[in-house]
Amino acid sequence: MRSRDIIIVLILLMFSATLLFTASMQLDDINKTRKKLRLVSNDPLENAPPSLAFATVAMGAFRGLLVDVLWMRAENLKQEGKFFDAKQLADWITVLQPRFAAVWDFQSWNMAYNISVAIPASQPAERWRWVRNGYELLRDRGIVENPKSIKLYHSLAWIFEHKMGGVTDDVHKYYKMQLLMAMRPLISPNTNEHFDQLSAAPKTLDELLKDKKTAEFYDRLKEADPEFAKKEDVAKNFLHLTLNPAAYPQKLQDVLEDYAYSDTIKNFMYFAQSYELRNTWKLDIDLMIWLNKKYGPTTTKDEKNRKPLNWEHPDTHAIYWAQRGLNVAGSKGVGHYVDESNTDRLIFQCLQDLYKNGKIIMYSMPVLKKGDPKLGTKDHTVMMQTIFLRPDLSMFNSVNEAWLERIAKYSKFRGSNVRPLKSGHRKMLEAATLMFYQSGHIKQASRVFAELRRLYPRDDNKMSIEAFCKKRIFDVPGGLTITRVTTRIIGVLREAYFRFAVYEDDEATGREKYANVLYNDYKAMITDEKTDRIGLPEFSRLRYFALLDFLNDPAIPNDMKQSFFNRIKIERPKLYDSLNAQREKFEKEMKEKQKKQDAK
Amino acid sequence: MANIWTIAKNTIAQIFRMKIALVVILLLAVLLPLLSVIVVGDGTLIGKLQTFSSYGMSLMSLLLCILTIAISCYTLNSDFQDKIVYTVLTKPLLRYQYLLGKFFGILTVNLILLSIFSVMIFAFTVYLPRFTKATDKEIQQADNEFFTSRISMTSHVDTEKIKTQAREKLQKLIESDAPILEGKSRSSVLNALIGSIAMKEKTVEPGAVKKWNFKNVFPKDSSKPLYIRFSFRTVSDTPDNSVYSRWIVGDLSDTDSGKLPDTPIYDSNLRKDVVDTVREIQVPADTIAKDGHLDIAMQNMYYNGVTVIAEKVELLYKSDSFAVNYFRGVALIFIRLIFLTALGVSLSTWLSFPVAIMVCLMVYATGSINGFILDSFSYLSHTAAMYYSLIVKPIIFILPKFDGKYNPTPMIVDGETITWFFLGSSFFFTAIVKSCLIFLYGMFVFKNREIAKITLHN
Repeated sequence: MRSRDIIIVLILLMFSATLLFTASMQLDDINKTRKKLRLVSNDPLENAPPSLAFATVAMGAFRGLLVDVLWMRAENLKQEGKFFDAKQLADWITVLQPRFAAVWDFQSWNMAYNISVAIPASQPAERWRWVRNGYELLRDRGIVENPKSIKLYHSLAWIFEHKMGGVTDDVHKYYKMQLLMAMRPLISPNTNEHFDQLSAAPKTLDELLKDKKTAEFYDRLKEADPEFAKKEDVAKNFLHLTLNPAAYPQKLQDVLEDYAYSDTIKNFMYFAQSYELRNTWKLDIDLMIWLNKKYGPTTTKDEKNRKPLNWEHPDTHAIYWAQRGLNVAGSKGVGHYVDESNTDRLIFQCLQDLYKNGKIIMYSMPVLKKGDPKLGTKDHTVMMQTIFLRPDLSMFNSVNEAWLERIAKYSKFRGSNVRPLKSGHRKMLEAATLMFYQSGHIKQASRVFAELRRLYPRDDNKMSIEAFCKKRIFDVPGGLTITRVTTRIIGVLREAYFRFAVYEDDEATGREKYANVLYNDYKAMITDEKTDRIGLPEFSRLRYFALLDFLNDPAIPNDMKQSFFNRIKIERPKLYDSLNAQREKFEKEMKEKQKKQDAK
Repeated sequence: MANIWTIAKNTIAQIFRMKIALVVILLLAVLLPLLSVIVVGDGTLIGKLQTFSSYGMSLMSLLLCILTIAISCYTLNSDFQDKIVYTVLTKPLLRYQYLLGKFFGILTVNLILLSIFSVMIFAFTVYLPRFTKATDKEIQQADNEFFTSRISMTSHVDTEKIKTQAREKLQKLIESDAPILEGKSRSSVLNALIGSIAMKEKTVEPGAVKKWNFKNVFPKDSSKPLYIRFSFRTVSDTPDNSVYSRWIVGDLSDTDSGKLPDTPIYDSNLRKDVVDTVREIQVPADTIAKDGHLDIAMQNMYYNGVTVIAEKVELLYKSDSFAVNYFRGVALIFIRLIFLTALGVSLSTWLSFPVAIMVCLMVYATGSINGFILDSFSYLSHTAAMYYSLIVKPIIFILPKFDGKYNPTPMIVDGETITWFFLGSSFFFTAIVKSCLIFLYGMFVFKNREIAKITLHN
C-alpha cells in the first residue's frame, strides 16, 4: 500500500472514531429525551448481564432476524406437541428480546403449564420444578426487565392463584405444601408486630453489622463455620441453622446457645427472614403489611383488628403480585383497560378462594421408607406431610368488604352491569350464614344474615335465622328423603371427627351440635304421627356410621385415624363408650339378621 | 480419469486455502462441542439428546450447504478471474473432464467434512448419557425412544371415500340453493367440506370409542415393544389441560361378536394425558395378529365432557439400530450437498460469481421451505391457484426438496426410521436425475463457451 493510501485510511479511521465518540456522548441526552417524550415504556438498559448486553448490542439489526427464527421454531415445535427444546428456546429468546413482555409471559406459561403437566403426576417434585421455573422466570427476570408491564404481574399472580392455589392440577397439594414449607420459617410467628419488625430490619448485612454485639455474634458464627463467611448466603444459612441446629457442628450450636433469647439473635433472625423475603421472594415487606391491613382476616371476637394474611397460601402471593402490578404499572383509575381490570378482578377472586379454601391443615405422619441395598441404606421411618383444605371463615369480612367495594366501583362505570356481582354477593352471604351457623358461630351467622336481609330483601329470607338455615338444608331439589337427610347428617358428623382429629375442637363441637339440631328438626317433621313410619335411625347410630365413613376414607391417613381414636378414648370417654356400644349393638343386629336369613 | 482426479486434487487444495472453508471448519469444531455442553433441553436426558442432535445436525447441514454453495460458485469463476483456466485448458484435457474434476473435488471435501463432523455429533450423542446424572428410568426411556430406529405407520385414511361424501354433500347444497354457496367458488366449498369431513373422522365424542386399523405389521424382533404415538386436541378447554382415555390394542376384528382373539389384548387402563403434546404408549408386540393385523381402540372417557380430536395416531416398532439410521440421515444430507455442488458448478459456467451464488442460495432457501410453498397454494383464490398450479408449481416441483421427510433431523430426533428405499429413491431423483440434468446443462454451456479469442498479429 502506498503511503498516501495509508494516510487516507488513518484519517478516515480517526474521523470514524471521532464520530463514534461524539455519538456516544449524545446517548444520555437521547435517552433522557426519549423518556421525557414517553417514547419508551421502560428505562434504558443498564447494568444488564453480560450475555444480554452482548446480545442487544453486538448483534445489531440481525438480532430481530434471529429472534424470528427462534420464535418460528418454538411455535412449530409447540404445534407439533414437542417441548424438548422449549426451555432452551425460552432462554435464548428472552436474552435476545428482553423488553418484549409477551416473550416472558409465553415462556413462563409454557413451563408452568405445558411442560409441567407433561411430567407424570407420580413425579410431583419434577412437576413442581417446572412450575417454579415458570414463576421464577417472571418474578426474577421478566418483571425486572419490564417493570411497567401489568400483564406480567397478572400472569405471575395467575400461576400462584390458578396453578398452585387451584385444585385442577393432580399434584396441587404438593405445590401448596412446598410453598408452605418455604414460607413458614420466613413469616413465623405471623403477627402484625412481627411484620413491623421485619420491615424495620436492616436491608443489608453491613447495615446489620453496624451494631457491635451483632458483629461479635457474626464473627463467632464465622469462626465456628466458615460457610457463614459467604455474605450472600448468611441469611439462608442462619435460617437453616435455627431450623435444624443438630445438622450443624457442635461449635455452632454452642454459639446459638450462648446467645439464646438475646436481642442479638432476635435481630439476626429478623434480618435473615426479611432478607430472604426481599431478595429470594422479591417481596416488599411494606406492601405485605399494607395488604395485611387491607385484606387480613378478622376473628369473630375482634372484627376491627386484622391479623396478617396467610402468606403460606398461594392465593395471598397472587394478591401481592396483582396489587404490586396495579401499584407499579397500573393507571390511576382502575378498570381502564383489559389487563388492568383483569388484575383487579384477580385480587377479588383470590380473596374468595382464601375464604372458601384458605385454611391449610398440615398433618405429619410417620411413613416407613424401604432401604436400598445398592445405596447401603436400611429401612427407616420418615415424616411425611399431607395437607387438607378447608374454608377460612376469618376471611369473611375481607371478602365481603371487597365485594361491596367492587359493586360500588363498577356501578360508576357507564353501561356496566353489576347485577351478576350483586347476585354473587347475595349467594355468598346466604352460604356464609349457613356456614357460620353450622360451625356454631351463631352471633356471626346472625350478623351476616341481617346484612343479607338488609341488602337483598326477598321473600326467601323473611324469616328467622333458624328457619332460614333449616330451609337451606331441607329445601333440596327432588324433595327431602330419609337417605338425603341421613347422608347430610353423617357428612356433618364426619367433618366434626376430622376437625377433632386435627385439634380444631371448637369447629368439631359446633358441627356436632349442628348435626344434632338437624336430626331433631327432621325427626320433628316426620313424627307427626304416633309411630315412626319411615324408621329414622337413632342419632347414636348415625354417629357410628359417620365414624365408619371417617375410618374408611382413603384420603385420611391411617395415622390420623389412629390418633383420633386415642384422643377420644382419653379426652371424650363418653363418646368413645357410646360409639363402642353402637358397634357391639350393630354387630349383634347383623348376626341376628344373618341367622334369620339362613333359617329361611 | 487421471485428468479428472488431477483437477479434483487441485480443487481440494484450493478449497482448503479458502478462508470460508476454514471459518466453517472452525465454527463446527468449536460450536458442536460447545452445544453438547450448553444445551439443556427440557431438563430430561432424552430432551437433552433431542435438543443436541437437532441443533447439531441442523447446524452441520446448514454450514456445509453454505460452504458448498460458496465454493462451487467460486472455484470456476476464480479460475477465470485469475486466468488459470487459459493455461489449464491448453493441456491435453477435455472441458468436461475439467468440470467433472471440479465437481468431484468439491464432493470429496464435502464427504471428508461431513464424515468428520457427523462422527463428532454421533460420538457426543452416544456419550452424552455418561456425562449426565440420568436415572436408570431416563436411560431406559432414551434407549427406547431416541437410541433406536422405528418404523412409523399411520392408519389408512380413505381419502376417496371422504371426497365422494364431500361431493355428495356439495351436490345437495347446490340443489337446495344453500346460502353458503354465495360468493364462493365450487372448489373452495368442496375443499371446506372435505376438510370438515376429514376432521370429523378424527373426532371422538365424550364416552365414544374410535378405532384405527393397521395392516402388515411385521416387526423384525417380536420381543421388542410397539409404541403408539398420539396427541390430543380438544374442541374446548379442559380444567387441567388434560384428557382421560383408555386404550385397547390387539386383534379386535371379532370382538364385537364376542369372540376373543388368539393373541393377547393390551389394556392401558385409565390414563390421563395433557392435550397438544405428543405422548407414547408402550405395547407388547405379541398383540399383533398372525396375519400382521393390529387394531387400536381409544375411548374418550365420558367425564371429560369434551370432544377430543385424536391427531395423527402412529404405530411405531423397532426396525434398525440408531447408528444405521443415523448413517442414512447423514447420507440424506450428502444428497443435498451433491445437488448443490452440481448446481453451483453448472451455474458458474455461465454466470458470474455474485449472480451464481444468489441463484444457488435462492434454490436452497426454496428447497428448505418447499412443502410450505406447495401447501400455501391451496389457500389461494381459484384464479390465483390456477395460475400458480400451472406455472409456479412445476418449477418448484422440479427443485429439490430439503424439508419435510427429506430433512433427516426430525426423524433422528424422534427415533424414526429413514428407510433404505426412501434413501435410494431420494438419491436417484435428486442426486442422479436432477443433479445430472443440471450438470449436463453446465457441461454443454462450458463446452461451447468461447473462453478466449484468438488474436493473430502480423
